[in-house]
Amino acid sequence: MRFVRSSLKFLAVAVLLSGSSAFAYPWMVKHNYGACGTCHVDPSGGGQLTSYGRAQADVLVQWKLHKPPVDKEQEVPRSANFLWFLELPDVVNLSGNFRDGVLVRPATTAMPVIPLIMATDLYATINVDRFVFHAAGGFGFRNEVAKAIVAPGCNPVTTSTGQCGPSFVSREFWAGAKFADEAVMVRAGRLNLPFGLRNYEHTSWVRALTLTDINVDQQVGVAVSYNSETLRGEVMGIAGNFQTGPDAYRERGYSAFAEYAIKPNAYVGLSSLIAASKADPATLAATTRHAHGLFARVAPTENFALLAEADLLAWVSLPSTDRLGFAAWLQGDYEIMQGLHVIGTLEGSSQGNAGETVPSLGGWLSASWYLLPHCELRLDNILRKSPSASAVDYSLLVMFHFFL
Amino acid sequence: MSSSFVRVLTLSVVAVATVAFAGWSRSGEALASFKATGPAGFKIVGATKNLDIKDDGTTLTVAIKLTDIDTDNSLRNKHMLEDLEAEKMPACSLTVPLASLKEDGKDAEAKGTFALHGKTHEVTFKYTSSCADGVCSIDGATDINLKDYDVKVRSYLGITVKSEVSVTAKFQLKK
Repeated sequence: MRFVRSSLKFLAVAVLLSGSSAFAYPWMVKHNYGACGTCHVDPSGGGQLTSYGRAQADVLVQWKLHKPPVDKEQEVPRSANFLWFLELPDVVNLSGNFRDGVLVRPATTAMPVIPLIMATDLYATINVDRFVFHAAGGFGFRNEVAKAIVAPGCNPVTTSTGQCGPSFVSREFWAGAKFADEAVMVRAGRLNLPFGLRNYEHTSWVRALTLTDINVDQQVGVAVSYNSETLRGEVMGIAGNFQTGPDAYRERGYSAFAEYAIKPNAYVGLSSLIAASKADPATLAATTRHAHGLFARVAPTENFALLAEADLLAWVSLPSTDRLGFAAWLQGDYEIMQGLHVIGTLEGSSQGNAGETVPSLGGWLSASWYLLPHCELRLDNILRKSPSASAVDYSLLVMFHFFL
Repeated sequence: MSSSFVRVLTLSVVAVATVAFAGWSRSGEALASFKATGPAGFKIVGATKNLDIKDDGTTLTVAIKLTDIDTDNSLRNKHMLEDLEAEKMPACSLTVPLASLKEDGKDAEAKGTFALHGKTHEVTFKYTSSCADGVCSIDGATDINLKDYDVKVRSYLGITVKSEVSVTAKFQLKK
């Protein structure tokens, strides 16, 4: 009985804290990778890597004390293969994404240290000529992942524990076709919403308040992406998230971004999203939410990347409620040496709630070490102050991430 | 207008043109770079600060060693040097008749001979030059096609760069 109580307690706390399945590195702009589709299966970046991307992960991302001499560089690093050794035929791309960690919240007396299982996803992509078929599936057991649960069906509100329990989760599944020398890709299925920086800190306010993270905010729709040397972008028509219900909760609308290279090392972009549902899951009121903003990626030096995003937010629930807010993010990523990053971030937000006279503010001090092929160890010190809280909330997130 | 005046004018123009940029050598910082593109917005940028500039009295030659070019990716550097057969043909250059260059040219155009992979090909390049106190700053760019130089570009893990490559050079000259 004690074990059951402990388990439920663990689950209850874990509900409040979401993990991430995401990995996307907008700072690759430092290496002249402004477009994402060369290294990622998703043409707008994030998630599963292509064969080329896997090789670059070993060449450019992995920690190296000394870069090998040109003549010693391996043609395709063996460790870049699936499972670190298995060479797959061109038509098949298999991978997996595992992210585990520990969250430490010293000010919390109930459970100051919480182990996290953030992602246990397997990826499969089939490439046949211009056609691409992609699916991701895995295991998740948190309410936060409820948005992506396939089976068993779960509504945490109606369960006796308030939890969804272990479930099969599928964040993405789509089919697509490439045109115009792969510059254009049309996709249909469950997709990441094209919006802003595709940063993998999914709890960042720019991702959490726009509901555009690549952890669990995917929706079903049709998207067209374009990638050229100087311009990239994607427009998606949103049909809703069919892994939640009832239908009144589902959003319909669009999400889009366009990004232009003003210099080889400087990119600026615009994002826009309007999505309407008949019932917001929290307020049950018919709500149309807007997010419109700017973002930028700049690499002033070979070792430093600056990522910025600012979004204006609006929630319109006619005729009574009309809230305005914002979310902003400024991050500097300094690569001390290849594979070892120190990252500083400032963020702010407002949800326009009554009595919210000052914005929420946050600061992150992080370090990321790509210690082995396919592996990353990351520390995030996160300080956040919301208007309603009397003190600054501090949490330390320690993550170990590897992909197959 | 008398024919002798025209003759004098013509000779003057020729004389001015041929003395422009005569007797110059490199001064200060320099940068040569190339940009190659591929599918889905893929691009490769390679650069070197080591430019060798020679003025033989009639032509100006800007040359680089291929091994000096860094693409910020050691494997890619290896591929580039292999594809360009840099061991056998280690240099790349642009040779321009001095007479065709203007000391104060804005968005000017000239023709030169681009040498790569043991082949030469005439190219038209654009440049901007400005001179002050005996020092001239030059910023030029041209496009080349690797097929013109018999360079076979590999396909690596599904990515193949296009044969059209843009090349730029920025440097200063002094007398």
